[in-house]
Amino acid sequence: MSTAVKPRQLNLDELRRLKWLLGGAMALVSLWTVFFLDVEALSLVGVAGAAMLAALVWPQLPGRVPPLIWKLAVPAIILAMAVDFYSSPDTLPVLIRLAIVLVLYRTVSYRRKREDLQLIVLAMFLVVVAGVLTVSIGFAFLLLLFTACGLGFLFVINLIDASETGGPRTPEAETAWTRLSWGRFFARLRAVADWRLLAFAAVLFAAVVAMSGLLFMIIPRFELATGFFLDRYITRKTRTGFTDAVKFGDVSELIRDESVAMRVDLTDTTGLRDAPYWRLVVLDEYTPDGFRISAGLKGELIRSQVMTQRARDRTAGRINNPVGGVWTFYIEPGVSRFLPLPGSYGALRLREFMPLQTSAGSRLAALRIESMTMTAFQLDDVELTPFVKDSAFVTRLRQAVENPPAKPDPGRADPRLTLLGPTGTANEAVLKKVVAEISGGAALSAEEFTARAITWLQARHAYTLAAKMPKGPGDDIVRWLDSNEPGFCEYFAASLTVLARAAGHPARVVAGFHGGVLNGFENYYMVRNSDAHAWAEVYDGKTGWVRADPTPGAVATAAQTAAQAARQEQDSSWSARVDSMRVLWYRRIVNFDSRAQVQMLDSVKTFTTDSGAALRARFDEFSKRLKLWLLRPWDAARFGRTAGLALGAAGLAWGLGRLGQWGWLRWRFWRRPQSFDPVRLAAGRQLARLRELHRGQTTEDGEQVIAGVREDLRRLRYGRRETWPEPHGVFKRARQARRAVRQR
Amino acid sequence: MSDFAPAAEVAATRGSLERLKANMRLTIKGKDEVIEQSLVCLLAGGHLLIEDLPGVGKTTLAYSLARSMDCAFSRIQFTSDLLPTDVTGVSIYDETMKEFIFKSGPVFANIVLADEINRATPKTQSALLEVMDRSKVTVDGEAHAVGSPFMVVATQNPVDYEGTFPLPESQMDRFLMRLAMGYPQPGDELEILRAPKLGYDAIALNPVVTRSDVLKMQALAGKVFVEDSVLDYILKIITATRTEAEFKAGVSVRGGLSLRIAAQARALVHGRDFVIPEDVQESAGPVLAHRLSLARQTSDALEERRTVLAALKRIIGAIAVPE
Repeated sequence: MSTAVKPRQLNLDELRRLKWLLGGAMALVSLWTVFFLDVEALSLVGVAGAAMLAALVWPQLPGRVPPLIWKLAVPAIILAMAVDFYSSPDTLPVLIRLAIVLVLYRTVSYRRKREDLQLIVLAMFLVVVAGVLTVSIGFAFLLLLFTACGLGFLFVINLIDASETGGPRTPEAETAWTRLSWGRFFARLRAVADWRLLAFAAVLFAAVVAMSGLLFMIIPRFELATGFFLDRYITRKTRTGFTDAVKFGDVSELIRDESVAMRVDLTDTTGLRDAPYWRLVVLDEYTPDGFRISAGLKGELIRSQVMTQRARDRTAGRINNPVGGVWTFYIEPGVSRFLPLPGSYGALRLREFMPLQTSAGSRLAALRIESMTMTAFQLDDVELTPFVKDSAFVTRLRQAVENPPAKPDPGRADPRLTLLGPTGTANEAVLKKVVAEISGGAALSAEEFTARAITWLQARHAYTLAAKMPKGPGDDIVRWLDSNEPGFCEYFAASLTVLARAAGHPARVVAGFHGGVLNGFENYYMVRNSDAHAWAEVYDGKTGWVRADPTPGAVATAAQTAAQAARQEQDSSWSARVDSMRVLWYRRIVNFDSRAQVQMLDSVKTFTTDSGAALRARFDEFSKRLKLWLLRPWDAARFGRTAGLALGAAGLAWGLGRLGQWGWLRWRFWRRPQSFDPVRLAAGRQLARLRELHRGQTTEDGEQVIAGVREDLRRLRYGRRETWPEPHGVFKRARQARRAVRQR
Repeated sequence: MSDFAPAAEVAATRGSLERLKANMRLTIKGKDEVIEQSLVCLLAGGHLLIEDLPGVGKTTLAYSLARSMDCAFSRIQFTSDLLPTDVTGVSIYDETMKEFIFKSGPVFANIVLADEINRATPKTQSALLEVMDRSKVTVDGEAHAVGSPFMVVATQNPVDYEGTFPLPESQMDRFLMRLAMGYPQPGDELEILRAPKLGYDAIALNPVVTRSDVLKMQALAGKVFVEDSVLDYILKIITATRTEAEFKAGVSVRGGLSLRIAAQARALVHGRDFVIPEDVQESAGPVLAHRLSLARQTSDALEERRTVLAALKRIIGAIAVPE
């Protein structure tokens, strides 16, 4: 009976099992990325994921499926996808569904090398599509996972390829790996695990990631999403968000959505006292359903559209009190095509040339289409003013009233719309009554009227999120106005606008966000969809529009302002910390423009040169001090102290090393506690090395050198503890013997 | 500590063993491995079955082993008409003493050579097997102890099936080891051909160890240290034979114990007071192969033997050696 071959490495079946595991994990990760996409494939992903997981855990399952089903699978997939292509309006979701089905098919069937490579390509397709369409931090994490799985998978494929001997194998032997038990497989994995291999893999992985990171930093930025053809094939489902028409209830619906709408990164937070009003949309036209952007204003926006990367606020004039430094906005996909503007600004910068629409009088800025990916833009010289300058408005209004155009100009907002409210005698009677109640019959200035109207509204109506519209005839808003029902911001804003218009003051509804939380770690505002808000703007009669927020609690009193300021400063919770990582991710990876890229490369370079210089300086300092220390006079006490310290440190290091070794061995052999003994294991390892040496060269001299040491090693490994020779001496001799033999 | 073999005593046995080996080499040429295995069997206190073609030195091996020790040796030629009493002895009536006295058979010796054991009837075979198991002969309700040490060296011929009664598995289990001699190397055979005389009378060996030496060594072999992981290795080998589809049945508990004691004895023969996995590997074939039978039919005994050994080798190769 010959000596058994020592199975230090995984055998072919175990490698195949490992390949199965890694391939399945890789496919599952790629499937996971589909969750980031909005392609109506959730149920498919669920079913595919479950099937893949089952096949991963029970590798025998695919073998039990009748061969007929495998034969029918491919035509069935082709047929189903043809139907899908035919019936679906979008191409990309169909492509993704096709990729999911193909990944599923490849994952749950037994693969040879060719199919393994196909699986990698398919999984990569899913990952790349998801990555391009959603630049999110979660995706970065998945990409790392995918890289690790993919690298391991390729490595194992190579190993299998190298160790497979050509000859024909029986079908029985071909599927032998599926019958290994997981417990035994993992025990084997642990048994063959070698810390050198693990460390090597970790270093390799880190190097790959670092290299890709570096490449990513160096390559010129381009907008992947626009360069990539795929996103054009997606028609987006309307999500909650601001569109051109805001119906009653839209904002309150948004308020229930706790997801993040945008993050606003500030370079400087000093002087920020009040919660900003982020203006998105101006709703100037009254309809019985609510307020909406008039066709004229829309036309004005369209007419103003230019391909640009920069825009100026034409109404801003001189900025008196800029705050926040540079404001960088990162807006989640699906929020709005309108850009949130917290006040007047000096300059607006986009990431690249894009069709930008602006309206000076309404201070609106909008993109042509709602972006599929994160939208980012920057503002400079922001002043958080409640005032929108529009001195031309009064002239335009007068002209329009005195000399009404025959047909409305489609490229210009009709100023008369800002005076129109609910019509009908009943409605007008109620409004007239209320206006009289507010003004007491006097002709008030716009400012005065607005203040009194707000007081009146807040006295009559409380704030609630669960507002009920009172039933009855007539206009909704007028009915609510006349009741004592509580309401929410839209009701208050609409009521104030309607009242102001009834009193002869031009007014409009503005929707957007109010406030947000200032993150204590990274100086940025996090604005959630639940921060959505609506307020009114009333024309002051000659120069511009003034913000009026009639919602109770929205305009802070002095005491509230202080409390709010304190609240803003203090979000330093754990979740804020986690969220701040996201902004770091945006700053560094999603990034803004090439300037930031150059800055980052610069900082990397400075960091490396600086730390190199610092290291050198420290080393010089250290060697100087060492020299001085050595030159100081030595006496017995000092020598003893030093020697004691050195010995103590050496002992500690040795002990820690032993502890580490013990821990490692403990981990590897935790299933066999009774035979666990570091000396026995070390001796076993030395014996194995001697044997390997022995295999290589069996000169007589070498044999003799080894023989004595081998006997002692065997005694350490298998002999009774009481009869052991001193272990460390033996190990040392073994090392010497090996070296001696190798040199010969 | 007396449970374990003291290193000094182990070293002391080395002399005796070397002498035994050297002495046996005088008659058995070029078969060091077989000599070593037979010594292992002797130290383990087991019985030896030598199965090979006629005329390759089976009997010579047994004879030289017996003659090298200061022991009583007897030889029984098994034939189909051999009776149990021819083996064990018989009580006969003594006219002068007026009583039955026990006339001991050839089995009352220290080394008993049972030549061509498979040619006797099962009845006679089992008479010998009782002695092998119990080291006693019971005749007329009276037990008679055979010699101590007691070792049966049986030979059998695998090809000669005409008029033979192959030993059933349960009886094969009684033998600690089964060995095959094999043909000698050409050089060794030339030396055998040069030898002047033929026949067992030509074997003129002087005993080199005493009976008490052998008993002492046997006691020592049982005390050789077996480390836990090596015991675990033995256990894994034994259990693996039980789950192997190629075998009709796996190795018995006695088979496992036999493997352990054989490994211990081999360690002692190599001058060690502890067992290494190599001892187990080297002993596994001789100790286990004859206890296993194939699930399928084979054309002849030699092929079965080869297949069993190959399967055993494969099984052991798949088990991780404790390191």
